[in-house]
Amino acid sequence: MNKLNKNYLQKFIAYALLILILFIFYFEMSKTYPFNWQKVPFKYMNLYLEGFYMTLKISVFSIFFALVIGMVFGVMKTSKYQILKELANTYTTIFRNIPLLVIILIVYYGIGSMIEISAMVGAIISLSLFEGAYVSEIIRGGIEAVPKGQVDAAKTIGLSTFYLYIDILLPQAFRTTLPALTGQFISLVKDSSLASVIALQELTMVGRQIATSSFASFESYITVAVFYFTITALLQLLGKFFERRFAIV
Amino acid sequence: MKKLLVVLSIVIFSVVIFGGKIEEIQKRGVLLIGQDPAYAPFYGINENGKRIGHDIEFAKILAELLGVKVKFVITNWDGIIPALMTNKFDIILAAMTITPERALKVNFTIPYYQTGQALMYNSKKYPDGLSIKKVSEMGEKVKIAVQLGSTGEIAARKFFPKAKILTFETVDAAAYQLITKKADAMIFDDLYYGNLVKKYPLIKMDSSLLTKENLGIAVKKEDIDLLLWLNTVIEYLKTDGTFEQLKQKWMIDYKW
Repeated sequence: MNKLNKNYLQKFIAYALLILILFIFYFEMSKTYPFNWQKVPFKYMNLYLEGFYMTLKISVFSIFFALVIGMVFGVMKTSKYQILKELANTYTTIFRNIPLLVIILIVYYGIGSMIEISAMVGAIISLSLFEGAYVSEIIRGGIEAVPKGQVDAAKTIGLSTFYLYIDILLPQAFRTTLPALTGQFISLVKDSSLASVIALQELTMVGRQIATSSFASFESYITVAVFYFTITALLQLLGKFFERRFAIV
Repeated sequence: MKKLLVVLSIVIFSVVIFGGKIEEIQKRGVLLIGQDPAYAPFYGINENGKRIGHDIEFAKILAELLGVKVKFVITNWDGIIPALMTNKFDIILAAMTITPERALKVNFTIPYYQTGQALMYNSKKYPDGLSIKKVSEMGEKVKIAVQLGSTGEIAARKFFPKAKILTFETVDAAAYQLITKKADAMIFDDLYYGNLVKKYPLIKMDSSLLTKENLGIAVKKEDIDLLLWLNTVIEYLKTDGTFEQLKQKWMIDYKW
């Protein structure tokens, strides 16, 4: 048997084992809990899909803004100007040290009392600010990991700071930080469930609502878990794909 | 007679200074109702996401009488009274228990529903039945499952201060603890029993209630005209049998 086949066999055994464990859990539980899958999720599928769509929407927007915020502050942290550094560091310190749940409440009820914002906008603002703080740290690390010699070389040939970042530092930073960024964005998708606290109709909220309305809690929670897993697993695959695309062999 | 006159003049006076809330609603064309996401069988959602339940149908009757449409504004339970006070909606019609503390912030109508907290247990674990007295005698050894933040939780803590209270997000999850014997008893609205026993035939309910609770509509302090009108409507619907029908339909017949 060659090595490739052996690897596949091991993979197969690992998956079979996991499925068996899950099956035993399910079987044990169904002895006492009357699972009724026809009702939940299938009868309520449209609602779950709406929640799924909302989660997807706030996740995509927040990933975009978190990336923009993280890039701006990450670059500021590597700046030679102390004031930019201080500003960026303060931002990170504040948002990394407050729980996301509290940020959501402050943004929605605090800012929301000054200007009318919808729950969706409140959630996107909170998630972007919170995750942006982590992203900025990741990007800073990526920029600082570029060997110093390259910066010196760029300066010697007279490259401006703008092009130093655009052509030399950021592209390399992106490549090295891709795994960390993917992990952060997977966290973001899961963290978006906290937006249910402001009654935003996203996946978790819908799941809880159906659990209460249908007297079928576990079916609903398991359904929600499967939906989240779908998004995060896809993100993980996408991350792997880009890692391979950008890898220097 | 004199007293009545004084009361009447105060009522009329306040209506005059604060203006008519009913008029405001009718001009707007929409009655805004505050509720949290779901509390079946009073209000929940059906397969299409439409709001259904006892209080939903009651709300529609109110809107019809006012000649306006009805709109449900969804907030979380812990922020529902502040939201009423800041005009996010006109009334809270959400199976709210009338309590003296809440009545300091909002005005309550007369009760439109009376419910009670009941003791439920696993009939296989306790074939001879379980009563409030027996549970109190068990002291620290007893574990009681409740829904987080419900009046059942408050009642459980008050009546069984020594017991271990386990909190869950849904009634269903709490009831499941009885089946798996992780909890000895569960304290919940007695009207849930019908729905729970359909799913878990082993669950039994003790016939004597721990507490009785009145549910009312909460109205902003200054909306006296609306309050008086709602009281009249509730009295009317009680007499003409509408509430009987609603109870039969949503609490007993409907399969949640």
